Amino acid sequence: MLRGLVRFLALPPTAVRCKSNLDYSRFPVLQESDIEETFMRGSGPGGQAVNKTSNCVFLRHLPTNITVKCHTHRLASKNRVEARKLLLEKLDVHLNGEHSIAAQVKAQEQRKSTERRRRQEKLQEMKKSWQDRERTDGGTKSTDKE
Amino acid sequence: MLRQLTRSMGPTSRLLKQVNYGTNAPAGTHIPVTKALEIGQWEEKLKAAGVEDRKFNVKCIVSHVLKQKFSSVPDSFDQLQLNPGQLADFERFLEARCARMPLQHIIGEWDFMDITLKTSPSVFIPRPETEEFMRLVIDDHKNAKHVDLLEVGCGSGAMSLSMLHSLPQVVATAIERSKAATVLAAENAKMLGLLNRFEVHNHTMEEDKYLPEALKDKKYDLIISNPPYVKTEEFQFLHPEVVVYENLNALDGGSDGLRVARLVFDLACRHLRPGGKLWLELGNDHPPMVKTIMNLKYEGRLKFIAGYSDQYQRERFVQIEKV
Repeated sequence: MLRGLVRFLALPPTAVRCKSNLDYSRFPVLQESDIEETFMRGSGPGGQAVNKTSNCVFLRHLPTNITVKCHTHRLASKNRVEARKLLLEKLDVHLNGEHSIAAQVKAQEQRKSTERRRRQEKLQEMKKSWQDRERTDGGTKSTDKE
Repeated sequence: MLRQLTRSMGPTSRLLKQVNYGTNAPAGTHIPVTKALEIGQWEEKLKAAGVEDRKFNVKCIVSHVLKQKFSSVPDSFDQLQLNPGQLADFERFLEARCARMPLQHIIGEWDFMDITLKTSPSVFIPRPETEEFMRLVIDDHKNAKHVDLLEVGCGSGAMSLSMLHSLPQVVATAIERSKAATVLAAENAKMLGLLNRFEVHNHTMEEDKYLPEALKDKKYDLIISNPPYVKTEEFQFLHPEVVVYENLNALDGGSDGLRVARLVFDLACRHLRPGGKLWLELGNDHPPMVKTIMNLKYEGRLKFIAGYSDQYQRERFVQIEKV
């Protein structure tokens, strides 16, 4: 059942992909058969006879031995989905390194901040040169008056 | 006790002023969650009471007391403060948990798939396996044009309401023998804005009186049920949360666990349209038994399609078709 979900998780919605200029071509697909899933102690089968509330989910990606643990949500079912997202992100970083989405996002942000800083510096420079000019002008004026 | 608490707060009051959550109470009367836990020795008390997964229990109660979403509460409570009112609630709830009151009753609400439902004392709390069951049922009907759904024994309404929530083409009718559950299911439907597609009848299913008078000629495309399926011999293994706080009518399936399921089979013969489906969530060894019963007793009326496993790989769900 979750297999369908995983396929859906493999790629973000098309709208997002189109808007961003991130390269998703290398983004891995999660095979449900590669995953070993364990639930927190105190969780597990029970049915009507037991009232279980455990939420924690562990995943191990068997080929790479990458593990994730997720207990963000109150429901184990939501954490199962969330854990698969986290595992995919980790797997992407593991397999694709600097081409991974996380690295791309980081690089993009760095570019943006460098650009911002450059613009800021330029502005500062212009301001400074204007101030300098004004001061010299003003200086001349005041000497003129005297 | 409180005086002791406030005195011990002295040195931290400067910190408290910086992180003053919630009400207008003077900063000095707030107490950090970690301290409240330590002073009340709650970890030890919960452990002694046999409560498992204590961190999760405490976090649920903290988020409820602070009226914050569970996912927004940090794992470390260092920065969280309780005012006197919140502290009183906090201790009351933990005390109740030590008495093994189900967490879902203490919180007063619980999630089921994508919806949040109110809980009420004595009404059966939906189990995580039922989410997996509903995922299968919803998936099987997502492309249908229109679905008239009947649920037998809806409890809090979790199954019907989650289906109505995900599929707009479904219209649901439910029957429920417990008055408290009938009221709760209607309340939940109202809260979720689904009352226009959901009706619930207080009715106890009996032989030849499967549905209430008003519905006696109705036919449905789909019947779902999570009938009581716990065998009488298994009652000795029930958890305290279940024995003390849940209505055992929702669990008692008789000697083989299929007493109520058998009534549902007969109901399905009369009230399913040809080709209509009956989906049941049952206990561990039930699907093969159901298959045998279908072949022996219902030939030409109902057909066993398949059994399915829950998320713990136990075959517990069955799909049956009206011939």
